[in-house]
Amino acid sequence: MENVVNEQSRDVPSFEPLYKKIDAQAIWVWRVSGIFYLPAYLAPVYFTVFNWWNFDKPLLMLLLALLITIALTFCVAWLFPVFRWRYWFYAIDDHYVVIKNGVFFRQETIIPYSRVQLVDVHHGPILRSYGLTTLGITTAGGTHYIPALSNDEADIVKSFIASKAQLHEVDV
Amino acid sequence: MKLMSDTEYKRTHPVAAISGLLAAIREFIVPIGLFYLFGRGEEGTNWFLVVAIVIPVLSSIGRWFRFTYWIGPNHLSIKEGLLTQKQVEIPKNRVQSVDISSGLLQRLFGLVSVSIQIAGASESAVTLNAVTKTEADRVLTALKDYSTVPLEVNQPIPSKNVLFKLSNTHLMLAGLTSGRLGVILTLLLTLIGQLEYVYDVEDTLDSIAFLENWFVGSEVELLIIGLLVIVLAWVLSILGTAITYYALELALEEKNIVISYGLLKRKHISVPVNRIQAARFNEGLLRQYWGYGTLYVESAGRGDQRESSSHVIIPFIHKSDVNPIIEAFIPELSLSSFTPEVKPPRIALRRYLQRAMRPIVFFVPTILILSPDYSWVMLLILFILGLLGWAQFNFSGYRLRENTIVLYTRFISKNSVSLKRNRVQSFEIKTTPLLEKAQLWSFDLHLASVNKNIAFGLSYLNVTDKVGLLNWMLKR
Repeated sequence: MENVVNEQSRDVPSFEPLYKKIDAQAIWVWRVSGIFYLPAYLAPVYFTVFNWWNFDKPLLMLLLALLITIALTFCVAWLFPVFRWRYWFYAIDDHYVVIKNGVFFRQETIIPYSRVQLVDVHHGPILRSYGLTTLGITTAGGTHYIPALSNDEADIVKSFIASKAQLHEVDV
Repeated sequence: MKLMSDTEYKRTHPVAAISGLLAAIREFIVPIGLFYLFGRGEEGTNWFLVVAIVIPVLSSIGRWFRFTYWIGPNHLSIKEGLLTQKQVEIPKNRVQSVDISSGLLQRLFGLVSVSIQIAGASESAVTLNAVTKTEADRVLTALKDYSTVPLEVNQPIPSKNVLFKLSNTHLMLAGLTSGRLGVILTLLLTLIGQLEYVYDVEDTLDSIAFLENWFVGSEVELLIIGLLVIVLAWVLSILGTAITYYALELALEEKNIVISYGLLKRKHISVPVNRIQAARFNEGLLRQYWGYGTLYVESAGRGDQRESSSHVIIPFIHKSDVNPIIEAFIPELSLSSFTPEVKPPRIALRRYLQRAMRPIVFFVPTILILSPDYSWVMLLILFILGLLGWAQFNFSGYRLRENTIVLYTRFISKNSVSLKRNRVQSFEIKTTPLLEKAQLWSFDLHLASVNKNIAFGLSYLNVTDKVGLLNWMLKR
């Protein structure tokens, strides 16, 4: 595989980005926002449980419901954010930005600077209370986000991308 | 220099009143028809009919009379409204495009319809329903005057650089093989269900009851109805396609591709060549075997607010004729060949089959609950889905060229898309831990789009292809 890469012409870059992780506080941000999403997860579960409610053993059903609630809450509001953070990366390369995320369904998005139309920062109320910002990189095909960077880091990355995007002419 | 503005408000041609009336009729024909058929009273009907006819006629005439327009140096002004007049002022800079078309009615009188599209106003388009061609030209010039924003005009053009004309044979074949059949079939079936209340179906069937002697059983009636419905749906779909794409012409005019088509309403669409992101050839199920399909171009939209869109440029053409046409206006996007060069590896076949079979989940509960005796149907469906998955695997892959990539995919119909590298906005690599273990990966190439997310990609390719593709993507 290495040989194939070296045989290409010199100005063709090889793909070895230096991945950085987003701020660890993101876990707490996602935990807090997870609590808001909890009803959406719990509702269908309660619905199915209710449909199969066995009236002969009400105590058992209640116990079941309680167990499910605890399990789901633990997963959504405590555990999942950890995994999410573990598999969230971004890389600022010479010619492109790479955003990589997803625990099971993993996606890696490469955005060349020449396609970047604008970079901006978003502050949700939860993010702000942790001193974090979300960076939005907009191309003609949509916006890609790097969530939860510390305010300083976000500023640095934003300026870097903005300057890079201007050096290369924006094609579309 | 003479100012090309009006001194007074102008009215459109009286024929516009007729077109307004027709539009009103089209809107009300269904409720009025249904009311007449089902809600018949005894006395009130005649009065109702009179009212239902007289009022629309009067209001259409009145609306035509009260619709006036005025074009000044910097803006255009519209006064409209039957009872309460409304005045709308539109700065010329907000005018995005002008469509000059002519429906059947307009053509009868030698008139045209001018439709002015405006960016972000309360009304997105102002239409002068019927004006003379001279007046339309005058309006067009007046709009272009002193406007700082280049105006996009869609109008019939003299057939100089006609690249392609759709023959009537092809038009018929297109109607025969189009996918509209399914939609029309569903519509007809629902309508048939309602027919029971109006006609006595039994009487009609008795007249063809003699056919019963040929077959045994009462299923004959259902069969006959079924066949009739299918034939009717087919005829309707042929008519529909024929009317929409009648006499389609494709021409190259001043760096725009212009497509004109339609029998009743002749539409003209112009797509700037430099906004074209991709060319796509779609071979539908009924057309694949003979190598016919539809040619589309994906455009990045015009200006900030225009939606990116997919335009049909030739609804029915043989694959061997496709490339000469594409090469005439945008040679880089030539589809060269219709078979992939780099395909997914053998081990990916299992994934393709699995992916195709996923929809079975929707059938399992219904079949198990409703008719467990027919559970063998599930196996049949699985088999068909499996065949589909295999066909998808076979027609999957890509072809890399200097600055373009051609992607070959199949859902049910075959799709061959050629994209320019410098139109790709982002490159998305998709995997899962399981795929990584099998050394497979998928990707999506995203194109410019405003509201939708337009992307073309491939699934379950070999990781050895990843480097080559990445290098191609990152070249400058």
